[in-house]
Amino acid sequence: MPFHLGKPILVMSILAVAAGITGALTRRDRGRAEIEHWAFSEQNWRLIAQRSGTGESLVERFERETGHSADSKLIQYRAMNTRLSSLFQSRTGWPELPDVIDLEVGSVGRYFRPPVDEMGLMPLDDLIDKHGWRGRILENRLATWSKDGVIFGIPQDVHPVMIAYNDARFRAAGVDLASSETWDDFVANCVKAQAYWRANGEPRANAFEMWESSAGTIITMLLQRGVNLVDQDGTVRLTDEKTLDTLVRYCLMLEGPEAGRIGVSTSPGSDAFSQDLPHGYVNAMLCADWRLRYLRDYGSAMAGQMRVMPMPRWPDSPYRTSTFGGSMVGIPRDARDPELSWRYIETTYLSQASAKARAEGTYVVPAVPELWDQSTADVPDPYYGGQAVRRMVFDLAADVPPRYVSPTSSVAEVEMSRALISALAYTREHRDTDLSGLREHCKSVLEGAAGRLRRQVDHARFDK
Amino acid sequence: MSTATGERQQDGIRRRLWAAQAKYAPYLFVSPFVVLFCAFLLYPLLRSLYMSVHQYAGSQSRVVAGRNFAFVLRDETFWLSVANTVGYTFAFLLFQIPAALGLALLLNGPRVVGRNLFRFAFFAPHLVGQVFVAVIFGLMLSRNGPLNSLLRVVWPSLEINWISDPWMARPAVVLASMWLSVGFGMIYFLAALQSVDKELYEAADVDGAGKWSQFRHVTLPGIRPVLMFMILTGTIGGLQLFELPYVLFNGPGPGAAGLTIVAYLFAWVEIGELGTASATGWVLATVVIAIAIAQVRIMRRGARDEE
Repeated sequence: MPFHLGKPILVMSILAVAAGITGALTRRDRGRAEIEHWAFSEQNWRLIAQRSGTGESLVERFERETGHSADSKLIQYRAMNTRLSSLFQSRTGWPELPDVIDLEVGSVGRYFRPPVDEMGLMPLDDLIDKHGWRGRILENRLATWSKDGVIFGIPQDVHPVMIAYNDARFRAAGVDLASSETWDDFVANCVKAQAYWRANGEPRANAFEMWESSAGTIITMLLQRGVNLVDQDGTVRLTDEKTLDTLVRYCLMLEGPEAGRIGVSTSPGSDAFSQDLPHGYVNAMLCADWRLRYLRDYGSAMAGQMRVMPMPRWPDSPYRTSTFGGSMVGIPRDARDPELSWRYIETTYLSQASAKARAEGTYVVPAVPELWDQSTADVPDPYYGGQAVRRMVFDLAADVPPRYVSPTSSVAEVEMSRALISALAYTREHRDTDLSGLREHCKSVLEGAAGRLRRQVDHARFDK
Repeated sequence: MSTATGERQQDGIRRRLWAAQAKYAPYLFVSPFVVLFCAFLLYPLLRSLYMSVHQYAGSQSRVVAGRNFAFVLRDETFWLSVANTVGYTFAFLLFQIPAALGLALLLNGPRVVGRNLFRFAFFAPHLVGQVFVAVIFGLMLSRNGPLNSLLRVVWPSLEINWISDPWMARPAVVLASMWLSVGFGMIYFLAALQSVDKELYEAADVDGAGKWSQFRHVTLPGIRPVLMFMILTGTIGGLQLFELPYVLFNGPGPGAAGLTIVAYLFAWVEIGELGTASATGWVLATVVIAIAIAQVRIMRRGARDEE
């Protein structure tokens, strides 16, 4: 019998019906694992879900030890956050909601907006106490994932920051950069090295990488000084004396008169390691533990020449390090079996096996000091000229300053960037004439930024 | 007798069916559109209006009346995003439309060889979308990227931070956007140019009109509807700009140079404050509608004056 709308429509209709039936028969919750984990970092997901060599994966280990099934899913960062925000907002539970989730420091603020007892994430204090983890996880790292003193995430990492530098080039200039105790020493050493390079046919040689258009570097320096742009209790600290002083120094280091100018903004991404460093365009940079590996992978031309050193000291802060980036693992409030989710976290993030898997090939250390493999600490690292890099990472990781996250942290970063760009432009414009007004200008732009930020913080505040 | 009664009954049923079909079929035919319109346009519109007078945090919400609108309209950052967006829109109109028209005029010449190839080549970037173009330009405009390398051949000490310098970031967006959109405009202008009556040019030629006069008095009036369309879509597209600077700068960019109105809206979505994001969306929608109406009126008046 001929189909009156024609064969194409008939074929499309058959396909549509077949697709509908297939979709209905293969519904998502059929055969769903008892623990579903959402991860956004491919590197982390591979560590958890994929076998290393002939051994079992961490997920398989969990399944063997508990007798429960688990599935770790790699989901694109933005997609995961959009989905999770919608699920939390609509209080949609299983089967849509996962049982364990990874969140990154840049995205977690949005989940911290509701009052503590209304958040989509589950408070973990009871589970931490019950399973004996209190005091074993670095307190300053737990602060990042807490709101009003309640812990909502287990830190996956610490990300201490140090300075990686091309020792061979500094030595050639007669400078031992690692001897820089304070930031003043560091600047003086960099100025000396720069003068040598430039006098020897390298007019484009610069000492230190400093971002000029985003606030990443200055925020890292501020954290080292104990300043969070938005504090734990929502206080905006853009107008603090320490913030002002850091901004003025930063401007002078990056755009000030020749005598003290050591900074330069580098190429984005891996080009900083594969182009700028080998060409001597930049010779030292702030490096969190995760960046050490990228430097080694992309900057292979500098093998043996690089070294790492702690950040120079501020006169008013005890820290020789800072922190950059970070992720947590948490449990949604409406998860099916929080105890089982916790067990999964213990196996995949808090076990010796997980720490060992992470230590292979990276410098990233977990936030649980007892999991740091001390036997690897003093092993010479050939890329870093035989230096015991892990020892330094362990030492600095134990001493990272606290970093707080709020819903307006991202806005604070944008405001700091705007203040920075304005202050840098002023410095550039006046460096050859008169910079006596720099401090006042910085104060003024920080006050403007703080005002805007305070209005946004007040507007975004949600109290019951 | 019974056969006649049966036929009458069947006839009656057929008539009733036909009447029902005539009555309800139109509704059935338009129902797919109506359902889709209600589900994906009307409901989201009304929902966003509802959300714009609420404050949200997770699953919690509360009525705040016009507070979100008042905040947005008083927020300096919003006005910075407006300034950026308006600046980009003007730049697009200023550079893209003449460039697109210029290319179309070149390709419309009688002696152009390989017109279809050029047409495809110029139009192709439009097919890949803003995100792809942003990624490509991110690589091209990096400090050690191809553009700077090329410029250094002429000027070895040149250092242009297209992506990280707040003063160069805006030209970078305009450059990337031109690459994306000029071909699109060119296709429309080319079609419009080919539809202009050739006899008008011949008549103008006979009357002694030069090339500029022919362009001014024959070509421009001939392509006026397309020009109007391009200005209107260019304006609306400029006001809705988001993906290109967002991906190019991986955020608001240096000195918030990439902070457009939609990026401002998105920042509130990221914070989870959907009420303020919805209020921003309604402000943007109002502005777009007002500008569109104003442009159409101005152009219609221009057309009437010329007639």
